Amino acid sequence: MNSRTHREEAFRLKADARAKAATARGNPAAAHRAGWSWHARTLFDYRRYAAFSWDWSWRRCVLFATFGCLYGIWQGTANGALLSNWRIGFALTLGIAETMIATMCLAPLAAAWVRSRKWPAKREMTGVLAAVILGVVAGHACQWLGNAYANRVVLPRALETRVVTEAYLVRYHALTSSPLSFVSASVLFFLLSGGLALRPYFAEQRRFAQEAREREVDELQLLKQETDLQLLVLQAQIEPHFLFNTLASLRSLLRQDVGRAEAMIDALVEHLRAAMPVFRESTQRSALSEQLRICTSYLELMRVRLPDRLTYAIDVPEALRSASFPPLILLTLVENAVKHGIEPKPGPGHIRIEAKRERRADGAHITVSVTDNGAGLSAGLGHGVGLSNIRAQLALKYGDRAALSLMSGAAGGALASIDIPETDANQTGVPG
Amino acid sequence: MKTTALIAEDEAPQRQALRQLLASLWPDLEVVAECGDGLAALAALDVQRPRIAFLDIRMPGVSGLDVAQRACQIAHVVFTTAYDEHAVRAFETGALDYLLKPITAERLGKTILRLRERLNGSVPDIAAAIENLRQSVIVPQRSLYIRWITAAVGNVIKMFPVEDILFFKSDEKCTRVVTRGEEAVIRTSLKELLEALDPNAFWQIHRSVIVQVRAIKHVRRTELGAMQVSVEGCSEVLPVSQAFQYRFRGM
Repeated sequence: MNSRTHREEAFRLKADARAKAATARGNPAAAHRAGWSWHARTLFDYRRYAAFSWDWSWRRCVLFATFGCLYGIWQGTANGALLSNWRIGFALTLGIAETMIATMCLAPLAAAWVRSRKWPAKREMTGVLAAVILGVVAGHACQWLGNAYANRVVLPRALETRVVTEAYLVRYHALTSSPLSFVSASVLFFLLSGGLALRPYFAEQRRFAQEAREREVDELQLLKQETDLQLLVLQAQIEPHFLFNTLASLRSLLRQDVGRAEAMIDALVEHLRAAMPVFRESTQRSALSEQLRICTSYLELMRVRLPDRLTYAIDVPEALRSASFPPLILLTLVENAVKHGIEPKPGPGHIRIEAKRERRADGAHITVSVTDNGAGLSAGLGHGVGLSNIRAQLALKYGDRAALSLMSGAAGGALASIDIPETDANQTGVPG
Repeated sequence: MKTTALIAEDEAPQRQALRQLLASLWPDLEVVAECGDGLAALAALDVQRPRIAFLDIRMPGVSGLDVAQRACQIAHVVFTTAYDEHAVRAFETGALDYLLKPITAERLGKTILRLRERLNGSVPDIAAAIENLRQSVIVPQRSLYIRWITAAVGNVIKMFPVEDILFFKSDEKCTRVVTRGEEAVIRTSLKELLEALDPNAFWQIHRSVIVQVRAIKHVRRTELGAMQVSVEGCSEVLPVSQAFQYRFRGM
């Protein structure tokens, strides 16, 4: 199952990667914690991994088994020395070490096996819990065996060598068979079996569910963004102010210069046809040449409206004109150049559209730039919704392989450029 | 004495059309200045001192509103504008004269009648109304938070999308804007930035530092108990002051 694999991967990430994920989810506190454990790479190294994962389990087993063996050796040696019987000492060492290893390793390894089965979450949680209980049961079994051995071999020998008295033996039996002893042993076995890790494990399950929900929300948001953008592209790009001003100029020109008025009507018709989706043939694919045509009609209109103030040049090699290019992005840049570059600056201005192809490591790229010698950018904070839309549109279509950059030289003027990977012209069409 | 007028309009065909229309509807009016941008209009105002000023709101250099601030002390101001939702709303409530483009003879005729009545009196004080208009014409911000920072990198000015900015760090005079691999300087204070940035995306972590939350790589505590933030794609370590440490605690 896909999501299961995803989860396995997600939670086996090393600490720094988890920290990164946590920050990405806007949770630097978790990032902070993860960052910490990354640096505590000592004995408790296993805690960096998801509870009951293979990585977690085998590391924990190695660590705990080492302690278990040391404890067994200590107990065995001490008792053997006390009873002056090296056979008993050796048997005790083995027995205690075995008990410790069994309780401490069985449960985590079984739980890790359960996790590796990739069962549905509910079944897996039950399995992990069962594994821990198995550890407790195994602990009791080992203890029972150990007690049997002690009763049969160790205690008679102890009586014999007068290490313990009869009275002590009575108390010893009373203690080992009391319910309190059973409970405390159970608690100990539970802890050794990794009972404490159940909490992070279940928390992780919750986190996974939460993460799945968050991912769902993210996906929906992305979908919404995509739809919004398509809507934006489909909406008329013609501002009322632009249209009425054009009509006002046209009305004025009718008496002054019929030829220019005609040229202006032609340009307006061309522009409306190109920029208003209602009039746009739906089969039309978005090629650079088409986008340049929309820009030309717009620039032509503005040139008639602002005689002597606007000139423009389009320098795009023939070979690039058929390349695929997202719709209406270029027009926004050209409109910006007129609105924020040419119009605010008294005197004549020039706009230049250029395109070039470049070979890069990840394939051919096309860079289209719009340069003006107008007012230029001024430092400060901006909302630039149109530009943000371009960025979002590019990101949606090309991921991080496309870029939009805007800059202004010291002498004013502005350079806006769009860099996109060159795709097969047939792949992209006008959305909708 | 003939009544004098000034026309400020950046689009030549419209300028000429308005003059012709005025000539036919108000032959006594003498158009003493035709200006293509705001600066020329300001100069002409002082030299010619016309009784009436027709001012386009959107003009190169100095806008029609700025020209009007000066013109309203000398002349009767008539604004001209193409469709502009916000301006029109302000006109409807205010005491300002305005002409919507394309200007028709009928509408101009009405305005001329009003102007003729008013010419006998003194120039009305419309400074406050102009200020109101300015408020409504300044494009209302559609998005709550800024999306771009325009800043100088060496001797070019570049626009950075806020998503690309790792952190802002201020010293006495300016604020450094640090992105992956680039750095710029702005004069905006951290206080202003905090108001303009999305508080969920950008956190202040120190008196002089604002960091983009998504860019945080890890947070580290030094031996002395201070916290430090490292960001993705930049080797600089950022301090977290005591007051902002709560951001990274107990989640």
